[in-house]
Amino acid sequence: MSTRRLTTSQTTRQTTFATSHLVPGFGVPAAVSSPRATGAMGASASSTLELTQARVAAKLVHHLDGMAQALPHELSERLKVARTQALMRAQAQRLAQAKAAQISTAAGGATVMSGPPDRDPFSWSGLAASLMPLVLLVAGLVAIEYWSQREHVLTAADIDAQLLSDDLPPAAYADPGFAEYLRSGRSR
Amino acid sequence: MIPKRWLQALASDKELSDFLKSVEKRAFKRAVYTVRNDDAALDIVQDAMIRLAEKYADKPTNELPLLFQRILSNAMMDWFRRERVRSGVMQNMSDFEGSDDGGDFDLLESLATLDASLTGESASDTVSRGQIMAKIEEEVAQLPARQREAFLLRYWEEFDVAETASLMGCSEGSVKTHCSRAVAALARALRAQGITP
Repeated sequence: MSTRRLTTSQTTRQTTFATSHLVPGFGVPAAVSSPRATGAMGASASSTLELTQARVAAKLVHHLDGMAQALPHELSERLKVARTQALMRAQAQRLAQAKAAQISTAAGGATVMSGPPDRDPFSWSGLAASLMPLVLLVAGLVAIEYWSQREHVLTAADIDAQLLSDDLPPAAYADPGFAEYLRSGRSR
Repeated sequence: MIPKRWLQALASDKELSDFLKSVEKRAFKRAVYTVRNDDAALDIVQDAMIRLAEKYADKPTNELPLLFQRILSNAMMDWFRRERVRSGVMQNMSDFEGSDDGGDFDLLESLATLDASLTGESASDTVSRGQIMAKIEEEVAQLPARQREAFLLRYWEEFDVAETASLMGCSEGSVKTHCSRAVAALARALRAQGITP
């Protein structure tokens, strides 16, 4: 900022210097002191106008700067407080951003499958990583179903084996169904 | 060892602090010329500083002047809007939202007027320096808003014509016209009071 102001001030000073030799006092050339003469000068008049404006403006602004620098102490202090508060807000903002970044990094580390944020979400590896949990879930369900059916079959076979190997109770001969079973078995 | 990130943050704070320090008084004066109330101007400048610090503190230093002046202009506009709602006072907002009315401006006539206004005796013989400065301030404050903005941004804040046009939302030609009229009006008004800049 100071560099910028210095540079422009130098330009203004150069402008002032460039025009100051024209007429003692304010740098307005004698040839353009009347409208008729100015009209005759054509295009150069506008540049002279700009130079004159810049010179007058520089003087006015110099006075304004003086007034600004001579602000009452109370106002200067209040401006200082305002500046301090603004800087504190900036620091708080920066801290909040740093914390948010840390939380984001931690979350990124926890989600192993997700990968870095700049990764292409439609790449094969990304797609595979996204589908992996689903595949594992389906495989798990299939395995549970298979194990359940196997257990069921094994239990039924065990019951049948126990029934067949067990002694026949006398009451079974009184059962019409069993008698029919024996008859059909004998005929076969 | 201090981490590099913290060193950068400290440097950024220092740059921001230096920048705000360099512009705060001019910003306050600019706000005072516009709203004509010290307390309101302080609030506006503080608001602008905080907005800059919160949102743009990490921007490169050379971008801060333009950003700050834009924020300051917006803060003043906001103040006028709030004031209009609160008190029902009709402010001439069209002065700020400006039209490009430089079409019929006669540069040569202005030059003649300016020239005439500048060829008087120095007022430093009769009026003290403090009084001169106060008169100049008074005349600056009485300029039409667009002219004052153009004059202050172009010559006090030292933005170039393009930057001033960007800040004011108008063409570069309008900026030149506003500046020319402002300087002529100031010179004329001060000359009428026996003061030459």
